[in-house]
Amino acid sequence: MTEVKINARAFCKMILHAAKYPHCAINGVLLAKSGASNKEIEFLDAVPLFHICLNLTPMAEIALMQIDELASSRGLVIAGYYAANENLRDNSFEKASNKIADKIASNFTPSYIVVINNSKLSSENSKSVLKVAQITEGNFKQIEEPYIHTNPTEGTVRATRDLLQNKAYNDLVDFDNHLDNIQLDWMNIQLNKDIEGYLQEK
Amino acid sequence: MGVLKADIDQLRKWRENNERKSRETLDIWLDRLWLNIDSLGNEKYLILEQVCIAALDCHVLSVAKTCIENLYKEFPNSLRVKKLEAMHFEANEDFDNALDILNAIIKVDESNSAARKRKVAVFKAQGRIVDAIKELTEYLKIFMADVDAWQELSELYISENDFGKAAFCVEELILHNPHNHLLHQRYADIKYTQGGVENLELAKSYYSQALKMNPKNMRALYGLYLTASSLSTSSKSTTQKKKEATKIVEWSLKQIKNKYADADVMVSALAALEI
Amino acid sequence: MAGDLIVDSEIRVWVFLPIVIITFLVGIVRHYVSMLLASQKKIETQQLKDSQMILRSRILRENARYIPKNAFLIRRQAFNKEEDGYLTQKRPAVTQNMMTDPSMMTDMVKGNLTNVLPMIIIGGWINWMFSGFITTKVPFPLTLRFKSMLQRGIELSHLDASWVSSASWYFLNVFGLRSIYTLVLGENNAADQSRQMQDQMSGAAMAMPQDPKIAFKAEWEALEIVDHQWALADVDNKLFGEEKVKTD
Repeated sequence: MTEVKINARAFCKMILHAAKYPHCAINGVLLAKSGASNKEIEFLDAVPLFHICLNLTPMAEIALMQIDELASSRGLVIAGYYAANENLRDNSFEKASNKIADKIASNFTPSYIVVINNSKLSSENSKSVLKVAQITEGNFKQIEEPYIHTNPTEGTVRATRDLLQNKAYNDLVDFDNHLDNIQLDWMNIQLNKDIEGYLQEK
Repeated sequence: MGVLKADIDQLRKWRENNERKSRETLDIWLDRLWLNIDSLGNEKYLILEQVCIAALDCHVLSVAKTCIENLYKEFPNSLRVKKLEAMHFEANEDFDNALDILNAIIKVDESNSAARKRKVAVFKAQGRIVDAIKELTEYLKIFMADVDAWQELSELYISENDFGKAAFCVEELILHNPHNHLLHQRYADIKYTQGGVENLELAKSYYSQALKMNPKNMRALYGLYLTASSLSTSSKSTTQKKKEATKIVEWSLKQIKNKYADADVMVSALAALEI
Repeated sequence: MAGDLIVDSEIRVWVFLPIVIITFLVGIVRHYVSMLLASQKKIETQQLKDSQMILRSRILRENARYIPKNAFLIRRQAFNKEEDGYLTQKRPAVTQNMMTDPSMMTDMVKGNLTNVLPMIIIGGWINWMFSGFITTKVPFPLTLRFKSMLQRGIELSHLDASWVSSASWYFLNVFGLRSIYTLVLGENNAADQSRQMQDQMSGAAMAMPQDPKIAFKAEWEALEIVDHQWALADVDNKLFGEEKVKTD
């Protein structure tokens, strides 16, 4: 089975995005190094996209175009899609998946979908917070927990917890925020630095 | 006493402006008010109701429970309190009991809109979106001019990917509120998602209208750019139309760039828009 | 002045003040009685539905130009369909006869009980009890025409018009205590008789149960003749037009 590694930066941003908008569904995309093998994939970064209306495509198209451009200039590629459903108990891939996920799947194989497990957000065990599946021809093949790793293994959880405690989610900017005020940066360069800072803390 | 009065005034302000502020309301209650429950004057029961809803919002069920018990003491037969009790069950995820109470309320008072809306919320919480839609359409058959209900229905339809019906709901919203640029933009978004030349033309018009109403609406600007560029490359539109569309593409791209220049941010990703 | 009248101070104690107090107390009692008798008005679902329907159709007429032509036509069709459109559907004729509807009847009786009856009884009693007194004098001269208003119950042709008789003093109180009631009982109290009177005036027209058919027919007609002009037909060109003017 494929090994999935999630970088601390990507992990923190996903969780922070979900924490920033506890009352609605959110989504975003995951970036990986281009030319990754089938055996293993590492998500280096996450780009938070929307929280207002997930199923409408125009703004998603704009976002994907821009992200793709930026990512390819850095040798990255959009390899995955993450989402958290509106309903607390609902963690299904089917519900979370939409046109964006299909689009990513058609551009990059094998692509991945990550669902944030709402009800486990507050739990200590970092891995069960995320459910990961590989998309192959429209089917979801869930990846078992032992194959999901965070990088670095220990620091990520602690950093996420500290970030949440310090309400760092208020600094997270998703694409919807960017559209409301184009001065906000959806790449979250400042937040990336903060995450690094928390990771370095021992 | 002065502090108490300030708190009551603050709560009244939030209540009258329909502000959510649940956390803050609950904090005021827990810090000061609940000790002075009998000196709240004639607003006591309104405050109890407000705090109860705030507590449910923050999932502090014990506070909500006390509020409901206090209200029941005073109004043992009130439908309004019954609704709060149903909401308490709902927060506890005891949906069957909540539905029973709501149905009982509707049986007594057929025109009770709050209980009917609550039922929709229960279905939604259970993930029964189809049932929620059914209930909401039933509701709208009676309360045809309820704008919020139309809004909710449009969102439910979008989540079910039923864009045609969602568009109908948004049309209804536009009728009620024709000078809201966000509605025009939302309508265009839906039409664009539906696809097809005809829908794209509509999307183009509505994005333009949204832009005309509010030139700062970035979503409309991007949307206009997108629709025009797909119209300009569509094989089904005439040469004349294509030409017009190309003009719009150029114009909107220039606008987008201007916007970013004004905001003093350089986004290299914008290069993606150049074809 | 030689012919000036001096009013006995006993009149102040036994006529002037009692009238004020009695009127005030009656107002308060009436407020609580009407609260006791008030039956919660239940709105019929059908009635609610009708009014919402009219509202929606009116909005459709007014703002039709903001939605595409197709969308408008679908809606008009739904309202005005030949057989079972919202506005054209057959419904049982509403026989809102006052006398046959018992709830209407009790409402009327209650209304009379709290409004008209005390007015007549107290008014009559005061007239009988305190008739013929001069109670007070307004501090400014008035013309003769005010005599019939201010000196009810005293038929003295040469009395100065600014004197107020006891019966008139009662009526002045009835209408003048409004702000005191709001002070004591809060807004929207039932004690205020002058508002009740206004309600009765306009109420005659309002209380007549509206026949939705007539309103529906009017709405149907208005909707039929709406000519749909799409406001957005040329909006993109307008957008550029503005732009051109600006840049030039």
